[in-house]
Amino acid sequence: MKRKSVLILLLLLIVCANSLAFELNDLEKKLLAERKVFKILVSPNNYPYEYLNSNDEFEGINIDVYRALFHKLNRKVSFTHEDESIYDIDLVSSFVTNQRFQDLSTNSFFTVYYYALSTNLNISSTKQHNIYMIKQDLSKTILPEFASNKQFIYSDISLAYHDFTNDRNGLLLVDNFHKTIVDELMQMSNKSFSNKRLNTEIDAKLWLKNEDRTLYLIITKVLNEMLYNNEITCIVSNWEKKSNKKVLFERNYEQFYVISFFFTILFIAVIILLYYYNVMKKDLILNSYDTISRNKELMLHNHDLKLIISQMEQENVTVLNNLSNIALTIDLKGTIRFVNKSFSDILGYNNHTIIGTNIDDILQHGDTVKLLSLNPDSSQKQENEIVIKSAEGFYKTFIYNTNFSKTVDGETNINCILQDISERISLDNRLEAYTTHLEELIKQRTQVLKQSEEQFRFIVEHAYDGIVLMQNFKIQLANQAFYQIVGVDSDKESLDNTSFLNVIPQDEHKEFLETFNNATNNKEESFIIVHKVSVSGNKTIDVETHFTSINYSDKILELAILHNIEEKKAKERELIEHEKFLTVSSFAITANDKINSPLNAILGYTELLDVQTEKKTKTQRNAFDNIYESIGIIQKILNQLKSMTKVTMENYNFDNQKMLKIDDEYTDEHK
Amino acid sequence: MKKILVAEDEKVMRYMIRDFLESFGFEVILADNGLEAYVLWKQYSPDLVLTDINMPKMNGIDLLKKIKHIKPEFPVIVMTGVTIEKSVKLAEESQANAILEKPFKMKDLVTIINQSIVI
Repeated sequence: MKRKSVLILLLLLIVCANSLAFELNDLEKKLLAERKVFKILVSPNNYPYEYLNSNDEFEGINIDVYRALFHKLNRKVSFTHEDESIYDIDLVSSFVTNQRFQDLSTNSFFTVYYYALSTNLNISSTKQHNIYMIKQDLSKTILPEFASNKQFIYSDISLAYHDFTNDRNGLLLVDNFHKTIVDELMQMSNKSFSNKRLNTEIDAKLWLKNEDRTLYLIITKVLNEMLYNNEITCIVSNWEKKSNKKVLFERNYEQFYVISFFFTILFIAVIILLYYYNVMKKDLILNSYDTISRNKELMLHNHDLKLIISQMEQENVTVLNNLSNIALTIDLKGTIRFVNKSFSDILGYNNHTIIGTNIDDILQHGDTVKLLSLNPDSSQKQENEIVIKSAEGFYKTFIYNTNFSKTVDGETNINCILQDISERISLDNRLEAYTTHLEELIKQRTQVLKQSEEQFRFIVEHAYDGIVLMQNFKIQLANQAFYQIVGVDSDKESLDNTSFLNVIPQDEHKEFLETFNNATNNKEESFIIVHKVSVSGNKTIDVETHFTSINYSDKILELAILHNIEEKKAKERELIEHEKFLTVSSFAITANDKINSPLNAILGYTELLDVQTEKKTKTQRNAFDNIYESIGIIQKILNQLKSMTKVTMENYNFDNQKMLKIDDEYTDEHK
Repeated sequence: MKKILVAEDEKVMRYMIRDFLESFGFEVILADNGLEAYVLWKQYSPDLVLTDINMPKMNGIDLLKKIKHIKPEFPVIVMTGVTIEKSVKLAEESQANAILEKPFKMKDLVTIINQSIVI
């Protein structure tokens, strides 16, 4: 019990001592509370201070110090090296060679001193030395004057020492950590070398990445505490112990030299054998890899080519299908291998069923040989044409162009492009027919024109109407009828080049010219003027003249056709007289009809009274007789009137609508 | 009592014929145009039709044709103020029973009516 209580008390003392070792203010506590993990940038290759072991884990004196430091702060710590991302780091180890981080520092927790051991007593910067060192490439920092010299970097100090001892120009660069080991090795081998401590020292420090004063104070406090408690010394001595174990092995090295030599030879032999085996195997593997990768590349290339070919074929098919001409591929036997969309559009065949059939089935006899003979002479137009039977059984004519191509299988194909010229031929034929038709038409028209001219001449010469061609009223030509109308003997006197106005009476000139000018000003091509013309014996007759402007021998002439309307006027007068007569007759007929009815009423009522009066006086008898006699007289007059209009009565239409209403007033009064 | 349908557009003439025939014991139906006469003929079924030729709406010849088309044996007497050959010919062709030229004696008309009805 006592021992237990003593142990607990000791532990409590240790805990209290640790807890009271450093105190953090509120700001520092707040910073720590915000940060759970700290990331430190360390050197990956700086044995024994900080380096990556075979398991890719960071080890070393510094690493242990950092871990102990953050363990005291109860915070986790992670490490990274320069090759990795350095943007999110918090602290930088002093062994990191990147100079830009070395602006701020904490207190150093231990210092590394360097010694240069030389096989030659004279160490001179002007002399070439071979520099031997352990892992760390510090020559630039520690011995900048020898930076350009040849350098040998070892993983083990004993091997470095061994090679160094055999080099007359050797310069062994060791830190104080390895110095004790080298001293022991020198003692063991009874050798001594010039031994010089270099002025350059490197302090193990932890640099801040940023100027974070709070974190700097925290770290300083903890490091001071660790130094005060000799914790860092403990860590360093632990690493020295580890290294000494290695040194013990090196100490027995010479005692077992022969055995070691034998084993070394054996080992080397095995290594050489393994090397050759590996080299051969490697060669074989490499060759295999090469072959495989080459095959792979070829396969990829082949795949790419296939894709490109497939795309090109697709594009070609698209292009061919969009052609308005027929694209056709046949083999040397005439079997159809490919047809484009236009083939079915123009010829009406189903593209799927036509492929595989022979071209001879749809070509006219002899055209297959022509098509297979390839590249016809384009100068011979007819040779370049073939005729193909369409699905509907019509024959269509094409001009064609062909070329050879080889398939992947090595077969020879003939590619043909066919242009449909059936429509063109049809158009040519139609055009030719139309031309012939036009020529025929022209012939007919010419003949008709000739006949018309002859007819016109005949009509003009023999027309009853006077026909005059004149320019500005100056008569150029006049026919026989005109001479007859104006009463001039054409054999004795010519009216050519005389004024047309001469045949119009003087007093009508003004009216005639006004009418004529009005019509021409109104741009009337054709118009009629009724006027008088003078005839022989100071007489005038009425004529109706039809004026028309015509082109005659490149001159604009007035064609005047004079029609004698004397007869027409006479007929009009006669017609008016007849109309008058008809009106009178109609009136007479209507009057006759309309008088007869009341007359019949008078007669009827007289008869009724006569019948109803049984005993009549002499006066009454005379009155009845007088009435009957008067009615008889009226009836006679009516009969005479009727005989006067006999002609009219024959054509009289008894339709009541045509009768004259002469009795409306009379009838209304009696109603 | 025999029924006589008189078609005459002249009012005085129409009434005179009515008065005269009624005094001879006939029943008289009056119409002042051919169309009215045709309607009354179908409505009252008279024994004889006496018609003028010149009348409004429908003339006497057309009335005669219509009646003869339906009843070819029905007696129709035609009166005319003017003896036009054409109208007379048409009346004859349409089988008028008699054609009377105005002015005619009413006694002659009664005689013809009696003859036509007896027939």
